[in-house]
Amino acid sequence: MKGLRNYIKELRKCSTKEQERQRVIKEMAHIRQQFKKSSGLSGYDRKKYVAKLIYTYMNGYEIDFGYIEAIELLGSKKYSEKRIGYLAVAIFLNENSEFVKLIINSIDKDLRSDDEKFQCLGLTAIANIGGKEMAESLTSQVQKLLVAVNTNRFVRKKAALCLLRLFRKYPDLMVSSEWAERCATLMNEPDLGVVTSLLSLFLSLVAKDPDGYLPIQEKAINALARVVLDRDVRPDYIYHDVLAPWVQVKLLRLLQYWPSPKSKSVSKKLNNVLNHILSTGKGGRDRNHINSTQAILFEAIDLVIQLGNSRSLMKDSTKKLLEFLSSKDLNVRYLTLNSLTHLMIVSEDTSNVKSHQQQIINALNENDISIKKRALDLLYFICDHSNSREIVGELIKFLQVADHEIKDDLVLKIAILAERFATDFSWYVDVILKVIRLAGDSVSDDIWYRVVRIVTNNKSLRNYAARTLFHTMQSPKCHEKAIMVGAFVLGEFGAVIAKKENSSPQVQFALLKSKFHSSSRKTKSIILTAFLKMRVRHQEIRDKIDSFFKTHVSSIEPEIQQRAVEYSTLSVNFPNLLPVACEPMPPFPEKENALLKRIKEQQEDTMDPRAWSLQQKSTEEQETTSKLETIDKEKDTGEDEKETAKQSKLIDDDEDIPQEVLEARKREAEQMKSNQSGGIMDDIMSIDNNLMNQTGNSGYQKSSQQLDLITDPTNISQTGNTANNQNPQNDIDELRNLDITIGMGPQNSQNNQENLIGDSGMLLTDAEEKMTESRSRLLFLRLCVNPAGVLFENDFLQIGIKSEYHGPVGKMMIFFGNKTDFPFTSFHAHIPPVPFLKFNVGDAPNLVRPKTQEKMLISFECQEEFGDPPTMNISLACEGLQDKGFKSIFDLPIIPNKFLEPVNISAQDFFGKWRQISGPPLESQDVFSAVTVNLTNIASIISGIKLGILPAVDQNPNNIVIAGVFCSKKKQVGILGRVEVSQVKKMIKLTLKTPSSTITSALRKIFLSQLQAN
Amino acid sequence: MISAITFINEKGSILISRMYREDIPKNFAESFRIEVIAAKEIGCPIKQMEDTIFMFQRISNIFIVAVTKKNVNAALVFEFLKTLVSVLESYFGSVNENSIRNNFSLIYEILDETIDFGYPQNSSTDILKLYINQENFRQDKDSAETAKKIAIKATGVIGWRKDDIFYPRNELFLDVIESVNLLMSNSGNVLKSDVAGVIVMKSQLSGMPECKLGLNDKVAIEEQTTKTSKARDSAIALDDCTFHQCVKLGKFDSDRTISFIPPDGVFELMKYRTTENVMLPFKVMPVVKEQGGSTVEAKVTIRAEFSEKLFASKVVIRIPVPKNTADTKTSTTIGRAKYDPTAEAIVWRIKRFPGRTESSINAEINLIRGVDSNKTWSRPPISMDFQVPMYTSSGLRVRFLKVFEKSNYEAVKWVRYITKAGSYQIRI
Repeated sequence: MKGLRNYIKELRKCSTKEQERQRVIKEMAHIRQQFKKSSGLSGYDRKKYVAKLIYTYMNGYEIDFGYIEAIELLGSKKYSEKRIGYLAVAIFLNENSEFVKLIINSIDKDLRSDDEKFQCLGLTAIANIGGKEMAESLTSQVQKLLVAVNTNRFVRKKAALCLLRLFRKYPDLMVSSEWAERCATLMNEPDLGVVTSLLSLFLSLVAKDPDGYLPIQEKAINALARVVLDRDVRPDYIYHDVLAPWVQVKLLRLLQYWPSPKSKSVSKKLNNVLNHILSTGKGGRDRNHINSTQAILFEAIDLVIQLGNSRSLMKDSTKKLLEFLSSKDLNVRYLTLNSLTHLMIVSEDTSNVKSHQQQIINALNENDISIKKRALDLLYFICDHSNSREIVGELIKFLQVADHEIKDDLVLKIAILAERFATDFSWYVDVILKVIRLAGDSVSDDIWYRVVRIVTNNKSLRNYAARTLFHTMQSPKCHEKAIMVGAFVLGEFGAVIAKKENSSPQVQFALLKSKFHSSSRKTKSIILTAFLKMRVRHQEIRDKIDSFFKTHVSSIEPEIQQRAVEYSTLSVNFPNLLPVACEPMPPFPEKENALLKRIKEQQEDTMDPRAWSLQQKSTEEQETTSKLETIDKEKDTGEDEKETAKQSKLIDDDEDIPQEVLEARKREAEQMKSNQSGGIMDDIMSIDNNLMNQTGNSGYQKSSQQLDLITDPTNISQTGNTANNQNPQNDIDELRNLDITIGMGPQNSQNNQENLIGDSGMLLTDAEEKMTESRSRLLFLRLCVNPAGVLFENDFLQIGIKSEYHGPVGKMMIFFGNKTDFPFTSFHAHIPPVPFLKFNVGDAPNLVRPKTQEKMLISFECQEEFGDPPTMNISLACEGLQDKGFKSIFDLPIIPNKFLEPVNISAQDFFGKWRQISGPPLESQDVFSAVTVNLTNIASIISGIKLGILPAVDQNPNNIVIAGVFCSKKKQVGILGRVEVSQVKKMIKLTLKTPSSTITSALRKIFLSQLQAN
Repeated sequence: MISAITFINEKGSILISRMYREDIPKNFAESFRIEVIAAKEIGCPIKQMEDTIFMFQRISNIFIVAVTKKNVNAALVFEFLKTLVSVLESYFGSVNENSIRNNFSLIYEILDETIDFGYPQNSSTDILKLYINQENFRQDKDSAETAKKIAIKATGVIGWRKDDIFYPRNELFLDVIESVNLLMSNSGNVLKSDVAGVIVMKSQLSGMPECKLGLNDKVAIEEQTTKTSKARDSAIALDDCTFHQCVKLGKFDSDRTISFIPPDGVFELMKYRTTENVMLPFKVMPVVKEQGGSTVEAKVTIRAEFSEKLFASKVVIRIPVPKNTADTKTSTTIGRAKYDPTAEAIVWRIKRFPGRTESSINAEINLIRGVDSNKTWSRPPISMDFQVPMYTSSGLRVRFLKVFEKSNYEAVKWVRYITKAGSYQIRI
């Protein structure tokens, strides 16, 4: 193809990008012209132009034509043309392209053809493009090619790999029950090349469903035996004197998915093979030989560990691994550590490995971070009571020089090990404090929560912890995490060390106060709470603490301000409640160690399914640790009660506590014990929550929500903002509340208010549930008689409305609230024009940012009478939604009664006009069972509809006479009506008369919707 | 200000480099070679790398690069580069790699004289030639007087003219060159139109002549109340006048007369702009219809609005076509039209377009269907090029041009007008 060569040459010659672009445009114009020519293009030309397009495309230019020509090439008889066609298709198309449909047929034809070259091209294209449609229509053909007897071996290879790709994308296409047997027979294939490809496929299949493909196991063991024991390998599969290393490695890995084979003979065969592998593998002439032997060896060791049924094999593996530990090769060391970790998880006997502890510790100082991580994992697993101090000591030493990436993990592991193997808890506290000092930033919240928990649960530890933390905090460079723990511990147990001269309450107070200003908001909150607790226990610093609260009552940070206000009110106005609120922390209930949970999650992330046994092991471990935690729990609770009693006595001296408060306290304690769910912070929360509920003051009940979020930063930011009201969620909430507050109007009776509140209360709970049709209908009906409220709400969108009417003119503000964490893009709100209303629509927002609200103002003038309300179309796109977007049509609550104005006319006028109108369609009369027969409620609904009530017209008090005017631009329509209420039957007779049939029927509908019981 | 001026060849090696300030590293040319020349990013004449800015101009096969670290006035730098090229050209003809290699000592001298510590100084060829000579002859010992003269020239009031010029025939040429910019909507409404004009002068006058130029400038005419109302009618409003340094600005400010002592040779006397009452030389009426996704039909009629005595030359109309154009069929009443794929347009050329006539083109454009059929054509505007001699779009006229000299010779004066297309665009 000379033309192509010239074209490439010319493009390469271009000295500037612009020049190149010009040349490309020229060429593309030429090709377009050629393709457009009505007379047929020769196959050669088509091939040439498509090749040019491919080259241009690969140079980064967009190609938006010529696909059809490329697809035509697929159908060509000539191999060279077909190849270019397939090349173009593979490059231009992806699985989502519409053109995929067009090529499926050609590929299918090629797969069925006798020419294996064509078959290969087809298979390659399927594997390259993939796609659902292709998978569905061609998988069966590919499978046929894979299992057919007469398939050429390289086609079979390609078919296996092609199927692998399809399986990865659409795992449902291969069902193990149908395929397991057939796959097993395939393993009899003598050609190792085909076996390699098949093994790649099987690795994926088996990983998904090991049990389903169990028949393959025996075949795989046979194949392995054939290679390893019988050395039945063609010379071209011998790689540097190693027999088919890739096949071996894949087979060994495949076998790791199954447990040890059931049949004894097979099992023995496998053991023989493994023995053979473990016994050879020595020596090594060149790099490639060593690499491939070691690869096989490591896989074999992993398999031994996984099977775990032969002690001698295990021993051999351990020996081998320990030899490798001092290998010069970095990769070998990494693999060794990795395998040893696996081994340690499974094996009970760690003594062998422990003797090499120093070597492993040395591995921490390698340059390579991944080796460090492996070494750390291994140390974590070999650590036990005998060597814990040493290992933790080494780890802390390492912490000083550790890289940033490994620090988090390291800190977590130190914390767990220190806790698990703590012989005395002072050591534990020392370790944690050291860790905080060395790497405070890497100490996550759950680690220090854990410390707090352990200190609280272990009575013997309190004195030591308080003392140590007190001293630590005296250092000016003390880390903030230490301040957090310190503030909590001093707040809870500061009393224990208060007797000493140098740690008197005053000193403690001064110390915390000195830390206060340089701390973050979270720490400040903890310090404030600590002060509240100190205030109860130490009279002598009461004034200081009160004045401290006072200075922060006007703090610029809402969270601090809130706490200061609440604490100072609590301590000044409710002296009786304060001691109850600040009771010492009861011991925390037993539950899963948050740290272990985290490390387990980490493992789950990184481990592949073969390592199932890992998780088993770690759950076992967890049991052992929880035992430790309970060490002195029992005696602790006993003492605790005594302590409480003592404390309450102390308080009794000071102030009289009512009996009921004491009872409440007991109740609370019981509640505490029954509260078993949630993380550690839940406990703290629930305490605060309880104490606030005990106060019985509804004002506090609300604010307790703020209080309980003591330590969760995300929640703080949310609740903290309530004061300055910037939080968009609040706006939405506020809007939601609108229909309670605005909806009632001043003239409504108390009774009705209650009714409505009850109603909307129900609505609020409804809002939590899924949006239903009836709910949106209900919201709409509410808006029919209220000027403001919620029009629509579901779990991501809220639409609220505020409106205002003067005669025929109305204004409406529509609020769109985004409740998701993603922006609504291409937001579109459109109100289709209607003849009876003249709209003036303000700028609609086209973007609603997450958790915010956008508004749109529309004003309108009523032109004539009408029945049905106008609609509004909403469409939006949002990443966070399941189907990426949302589209809906809403009725706008612009209905005829909105344009009504009440009138007051005399009885004479009323009856005069009343008689003028008679008979449908101008008159309507209905009798129906009423939703309410309370006259004041009905009156408020009528005034919601904006009609006037004429009090002196009808003598019967159960009859309400109404009148109003419908205002439109063209004319005004008078409205007369009577509502006769039968208190006994709970029925209403409604008569409406207007000079316009449209208005009569529209108003009737509105009345029925509001008054009729369903 | 300019920290260095460098001449770099296509391969990126330095031919000549003159540093004016010490704030840039010595190897700055290396980064220019890598980032600009090797990256083929020479479309944009400014390249910023961290805090170093390269501004360059490409002349034949070399780059003239100004390097700076300051926030300089880019227009000034480019103006200087342009002037520098014209200075070099006046010394040794065309500027290219060879000529630069042959004259490098001369160029160093010029670079030293034209810029001082990064600030452009004198770039007037005449004056430079007084003391930078191409031949390396030594100056006479007794030329103290010459030296003095030079000093006066270089530092004096009229730095742009020698005082001993003599022509046997005193002539003065004046060209008013206007380029008219237009943006018209497809319905024929003018969205934007203005004229940018420049008056170029070529003086071949002896001695130290003082010239006075009168234009039909509205302000100037209104001041002279004695003028007839007719003159006032034809007056036009000039915006943004800028002048050559020889024009006495004080005089212009006080009574709007343009008086000056011209430099010798060609120079730009003034530039101006008008935005009101622009007379458009051509009216274009396009009808472009997209029929389905496969063809576009375009009919464009253009009418010359100027007097029948005049004619336009080199008229080029570019009618844009969609990107996926396969082929086109065109028929024109005058001139020739052709599809130019690189311009993505049908280019219709007319050599001579008489005034008050109309001609049109019919084009049928066949498209090839693209992959993404939803892609719509953006319909870029039709653009035009033309030249209309003896016509000014702004209506500017030279009322008088007077020359006063001590010897009172009669100078022959020539005035020409020409209107060119600037960005003349009509939306379709």
